[in-house]
Amino acid sequence: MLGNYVTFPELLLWIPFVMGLIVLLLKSAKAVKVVSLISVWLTLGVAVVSLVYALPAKEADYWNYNNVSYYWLRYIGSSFTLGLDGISHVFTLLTSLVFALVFMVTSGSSYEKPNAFYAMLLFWQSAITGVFVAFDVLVFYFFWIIVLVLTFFLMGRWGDSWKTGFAFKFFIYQFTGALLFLAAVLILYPYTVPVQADSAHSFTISAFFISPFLAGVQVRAFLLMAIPFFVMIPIFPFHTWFPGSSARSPYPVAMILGSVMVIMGLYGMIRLAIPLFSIAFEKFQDVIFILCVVSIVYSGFIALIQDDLKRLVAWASVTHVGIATLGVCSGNAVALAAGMFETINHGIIIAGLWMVMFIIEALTGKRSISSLGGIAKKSPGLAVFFFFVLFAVVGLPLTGSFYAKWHILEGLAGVSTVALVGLILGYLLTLLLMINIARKVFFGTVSEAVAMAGSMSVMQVIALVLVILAILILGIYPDAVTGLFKASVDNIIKRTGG
Amino acid sequence: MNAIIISGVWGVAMMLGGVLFRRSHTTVFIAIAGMILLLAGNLMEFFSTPLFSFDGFEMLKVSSFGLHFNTIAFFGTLLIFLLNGKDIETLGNHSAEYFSLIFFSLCGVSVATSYNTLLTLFLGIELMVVPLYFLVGSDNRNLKGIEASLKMFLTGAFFSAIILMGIALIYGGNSLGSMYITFISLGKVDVNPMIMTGMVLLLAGMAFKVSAAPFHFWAPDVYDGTPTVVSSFLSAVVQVGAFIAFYKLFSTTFGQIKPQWQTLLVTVAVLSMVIGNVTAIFQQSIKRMLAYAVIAQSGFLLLGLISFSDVGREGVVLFIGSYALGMIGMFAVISRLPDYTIDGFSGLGKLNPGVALFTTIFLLSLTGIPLTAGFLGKLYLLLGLAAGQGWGWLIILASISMAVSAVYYFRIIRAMYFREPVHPVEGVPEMRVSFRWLLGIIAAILILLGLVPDILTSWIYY
Repeated sequence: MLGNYVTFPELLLWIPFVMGLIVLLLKSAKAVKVVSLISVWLTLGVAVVSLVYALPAKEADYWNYNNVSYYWLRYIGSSFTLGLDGISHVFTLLTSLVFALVFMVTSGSSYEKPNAFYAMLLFWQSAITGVFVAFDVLVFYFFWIIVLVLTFFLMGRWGDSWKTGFAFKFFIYQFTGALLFLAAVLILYPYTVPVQADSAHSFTISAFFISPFLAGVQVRAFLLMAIPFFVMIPIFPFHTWFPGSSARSPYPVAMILGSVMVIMGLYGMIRLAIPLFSIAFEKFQDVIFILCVVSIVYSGFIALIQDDLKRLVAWASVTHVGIATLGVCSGNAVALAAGMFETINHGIIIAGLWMVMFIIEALTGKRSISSLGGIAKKSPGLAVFFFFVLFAVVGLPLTGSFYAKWHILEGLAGVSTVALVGLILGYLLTLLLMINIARKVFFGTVSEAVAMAGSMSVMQVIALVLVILAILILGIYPDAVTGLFKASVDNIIKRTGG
Repeated sequence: MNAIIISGVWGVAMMLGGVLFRRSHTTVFIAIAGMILLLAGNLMEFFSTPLFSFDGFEMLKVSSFGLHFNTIAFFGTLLIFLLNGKDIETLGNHSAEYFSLIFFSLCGVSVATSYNTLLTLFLGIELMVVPLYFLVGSDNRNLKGIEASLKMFLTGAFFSAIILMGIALIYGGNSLGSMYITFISLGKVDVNPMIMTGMVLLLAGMAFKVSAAPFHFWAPDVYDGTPTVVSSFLSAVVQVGAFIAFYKLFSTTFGQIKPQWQTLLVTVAVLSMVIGNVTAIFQQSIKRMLAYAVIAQSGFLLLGLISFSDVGREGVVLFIGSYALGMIGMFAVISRLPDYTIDGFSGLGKLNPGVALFTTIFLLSLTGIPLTAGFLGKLYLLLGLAAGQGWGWLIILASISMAVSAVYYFRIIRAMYFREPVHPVEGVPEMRVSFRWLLGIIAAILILLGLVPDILTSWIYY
């Protein structure tokens, strides 16, 4: 049945979308939440089941169930092509997992016009998944822009303050970047080889891979294409939209923004920018290293002086994603694989960190460090969970982050001293920051706000346990994930000649 | 020929009949009936059953390309009649005359899309624009409208003279002594300074008619000053007619000497995009802002003329279709708002969710967001450029100008959804159910074209 009628990428794409439409029609807030929870669980289930078909034993069915292509704009060489390869598998799994976690954790809070809010979130999930499964550059761009527009509405409509222009700033920033991406694609387009008879050129990613791009074209296209990805990741100096947007967004949006959406940028680097433009990539590698290092160190220091927990997590996530970017852009097989693994870790860890902050604010009503303290006494469960996340963030053994961080270091050791120094500084700053939070927020005297705090809901506890499980699985058995994208990494390395 | 005859006759009939049904609401219905007839006649001719035909020394030559754009223009006008028919009726004291002027203008559009000599080009353009001079100033209680009318008339007459002078120079400069656009092309004529001067003058004149920079100065005042329904007609229909005339002229007559005018046209396009988009950001009045948006959009549209490819032609069709529909929708919404600043839109998402949603779709389409026709129009235009190679910088510039346009389009979306209403609820004029449905239909067409562009573009190969 499956494969002949509908494939996994389609299911992952359409389940949230259709459920979102259903949610939009519901009136009661309770029904909205139940249906959207069912939707995210269903999507997560499909993502997990799809992994079965990624096993070597099922290789024969793999192509059948995981790729689909429809005619669309065929005369310009574009088609609605979706697929799940190793990289996409990991990223879609992460997306559905994080959405499920976020929906569970925030199920207790209420939002204005819940049906519109949750429908938007589900559409958002659909669009983000679309970015990860699109195998046609134009379709990729489509989903990318839809993600931006939906984020604009989610931030602006349900954000902290309506008067400020942060959602607007976010959109203009990102839209400009995305249009540069489009310009890059259009510059490459006349050099692509046709894959269908109907058009002289093609937009499918596979066509881009087999087309020869000259060095000059590569440099231009790489510069244009890297900008939107760096804006999204975000890397210094394109990061200015991020902390404000995170801090002012409603929690579910901020969580997903920090953990899944920024990963779209890294995904773009891995999928397109690095393998397509090997010559240009080599040329600009040092610049990228420097930008990443500046980004890591700069955001690490700024995170240290934050008082607002939302801003703090936002800056911490800039540091963390910078480390992953260093690995991804290393041009070295070990560090690249580790960087991709760290990207997955980033999604889970930062989501976990956001969840802690959300629960703290939900319980105490405060989110500034100065008005918090002694949570460990009041809510030991939360503290235990926080320490798991802390271990993961700083990269202690048994967490996936340890494996990733170690291998990024190992891979970069022979490549660049600057990157190495930046990396170590980044680890130290993160450690300092996390210990600082632990000291001020979880230990110390019990503050007034904390003394009044209630207790966590069952949903929240389940979500937290799931995060711990994910962290441990990634830490103890990293091959489960790295095995999925090993072939893809080898391909990229072969192209970049590293 | 169907469209020319029907629109002309209907215009005359409405003007004469205006005596009979003055001050009654039948005028709108008669006009709508005429519009449907016109549309049907045009479609009949498109599917090769011309009701009327005359030789006329082949001064008019109907092509499917031109007829296709007629259909877009007529459909747009029909939508304007359906959405804002009452507004046209109450422009001033002569309800029937306003409709007949619009029909005359449409007659001009049909001539401008099917001309075969420079003379008929001039006639078409003038026939299209002269009725507008009256329509723009029709609300004689509004001083701004009268000023706009005078401004449009004076500058318009000036540039018409320039077009005429260009035509005269080309006529005198070619050894064949011919005015037929196809004759002068084909490399039969030596390019001499006289023809070149004529071409530059024609380019300037036509750029003025499509309100491209640096000949755009009339547009903001005119769009701002006239009744909203006239701005709608100007932006959606007259622009289309003028641009098609422009496109046809430069792709046939001057197609052979492209290198000579390309630089000039690129300059005009770039200036329009930059000036239009950047100035639009600073406007308080939404109508004025949309006027600058029109300037920017016509700069973008000129890219189709620069690229000159099949994809580019498809892009022109899609772009014009999406742009006309989007502008008609926007101006229709504006005509129902309590004021013409951004405050008018504030809180529309709460007051009238349906209309706010449709307005959002119009704006997304005008910005060029995927899944709307506007995006595909822009994409195809850029693709046409990309195929030519060497236009990388222009593609980047056009992309950035799209990003800049998002600033002012999204400001409206922000006002609608993220702000509280400024005006008391009683101050918001009611929007009829049929009005909302029509807006919904326009939005649906925009999305449909964004998904399946072939339903519009495939006809140009007919």
